[in-house]
Amino acid sequence: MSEWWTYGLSDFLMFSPRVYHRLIAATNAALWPAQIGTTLLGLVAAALIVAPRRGATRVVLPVLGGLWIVVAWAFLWERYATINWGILYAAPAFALQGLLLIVAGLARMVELREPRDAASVAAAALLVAIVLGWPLLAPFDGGALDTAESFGLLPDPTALGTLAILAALRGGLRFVLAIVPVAWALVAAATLYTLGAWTWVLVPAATTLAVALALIRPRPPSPRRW
Amino acid sequence: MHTRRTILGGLAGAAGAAALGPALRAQPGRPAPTPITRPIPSTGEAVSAVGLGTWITFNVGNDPVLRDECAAVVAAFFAAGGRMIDSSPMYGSSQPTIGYALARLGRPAALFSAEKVWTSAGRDGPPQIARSLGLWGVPRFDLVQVHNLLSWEAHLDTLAAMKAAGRVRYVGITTSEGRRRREFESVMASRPLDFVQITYNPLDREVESRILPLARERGIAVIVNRPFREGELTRRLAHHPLPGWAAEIGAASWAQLVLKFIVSHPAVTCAIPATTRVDHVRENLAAAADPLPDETMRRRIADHIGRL
Ligand SMILES: NC(=O)c1ccc[n+]([C@@H]2O[C@H](COP(=O)([O-])OP(=O)(O)OC[C@H]3O[C@@H](n4cnc5c(N)ncnc54)[C@H](OP(=O)(O)O)[C@@H]3O)[C@@H](O)[C@H]2O)c1
Repeated sequence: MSEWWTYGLSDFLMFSPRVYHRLIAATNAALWPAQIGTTLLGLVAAALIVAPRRGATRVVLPVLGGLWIVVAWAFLWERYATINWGILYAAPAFALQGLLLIVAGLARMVELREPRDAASVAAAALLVAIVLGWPLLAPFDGGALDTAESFGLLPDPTALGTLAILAALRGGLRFVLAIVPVAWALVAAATLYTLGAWTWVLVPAATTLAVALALIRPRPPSPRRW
Repeated sequence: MHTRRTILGGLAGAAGAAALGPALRAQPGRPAPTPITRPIPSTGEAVSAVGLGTWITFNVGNDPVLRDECAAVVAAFFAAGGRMIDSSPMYGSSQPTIGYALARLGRPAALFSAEKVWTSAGRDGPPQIARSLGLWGVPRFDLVQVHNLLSWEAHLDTLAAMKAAGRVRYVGITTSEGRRRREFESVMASRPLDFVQITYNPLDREVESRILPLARERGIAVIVNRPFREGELTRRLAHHPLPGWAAEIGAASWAQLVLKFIVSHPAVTCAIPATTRVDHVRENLAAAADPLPDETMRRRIADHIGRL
């Protein structure tokens, strides 16, 4: 792009807030009541982080990966890409992230921190805050409840919730698995900012917190291997 | 923010206009005055001096309510005597939205379709133009412009060949906000162009010094984008009272004052404000009417708006 310094964030916003909010409302209406199911899945993941069970990682990560693929297809590809051609590139990245999570979980390339430590408890709390709190932001930002964004169905809470889950893992691959969610968090913050939504500040805040938690070195695993 | 009801109210005719003053009020039983036209220098064909942009405003995806609102804007645009609609493959779903509106209106004969080619590889130009034709649902574009000078050498060759074969009527280039000014001028000076598209309004006047005079000298029509700085200007001006002297040139709103300033420049062919609102499209078309400001009044408008 020539003369890139003459462009601001708003030059890249190609739709109005009204169009964006109506798109989310239409997605919610089409997918209802899946919101209840994905919210429960998020809460179960938080519970498993706090009280790890045998084989939990093999379930949590593949389910999470499946949700990324749902977001990639049902929201990004089918809907969001109609008003934002940049999403044609984001959707495959979401699908790839879904596959990576599935493989990493099934092959146990990463594991939940066990025994749980302060970092994993904090990560679980962050996950609960995102899963329950993110949908409630819509009314606080002047939107209607039908524009609530649910974990597992819409990209922003899914990316942030995933970062919280990754913060509760051990294994170097957790940082690789954080690349797409962090990249999306940057896109999400920029989009919300240019849409004039104050909630954009929560995106870097949650991302920084999750990455900071992930950087806390996990204690060595307990002798009992699952 | 407006609601669907205000838009449909605008469609019905009276709502909104009452607030805009006598110059805009619907005259029952009397057709709206036809807007001032400007000749395209290369052929003499007349186009109304205010057209319609579609960046952001027409990018509504598959939302049926919003698509109908856009169709209502297009209907009001043609009813008020508008001709030029400008779009680009860069504008998301704006092209299919235009196609939807045109199909609903039975493809108005007055349409002057202004499209763009926007791709970095020259060989991708023709398929992109073909796709755009399909989305608009028209057999041929009146004008195809090289968007933001992207790969302009290759695309201008393609467009020259298409024009020679009768597959496009006019050829042009675009830029905005003064970007790549030098290169833009050199293309204007060295290649045969029917149109250029640039940014011009009472606050963005750099084009007055070189590009607008060059367009006159070379016989190139000028389309003006971002007349309201993407709405930032009209929103800012809304906090200030319209000066009493605006009535001397028949401007009943800030938007009309700005548009009258733009289209009164002798090099300007057509300004293309974008809008989601029926009342605004009517207001904008109504600005293309006499009296237009003379040089002294133009300076007064620019000075006044520059101070606010
Ligand atoms: N490089 C390029 O080729 C290039 C670059 C920029 C733009 N363009 C073209 O130029 C067109 C115009 O530029 P733009 O869309 O960026 O900005 P613009 O036309 O300066 O501003 C559009 C904004 O003005 C508001 N508006 C329209 N009529 C109004 C009125 N009568 N009173 C108050 N507000 C009014 C609209 O809001 P409402 O919906 O509320 O009316 C809309 O938000 C584009 O749509 C595009 O087709 C081309």
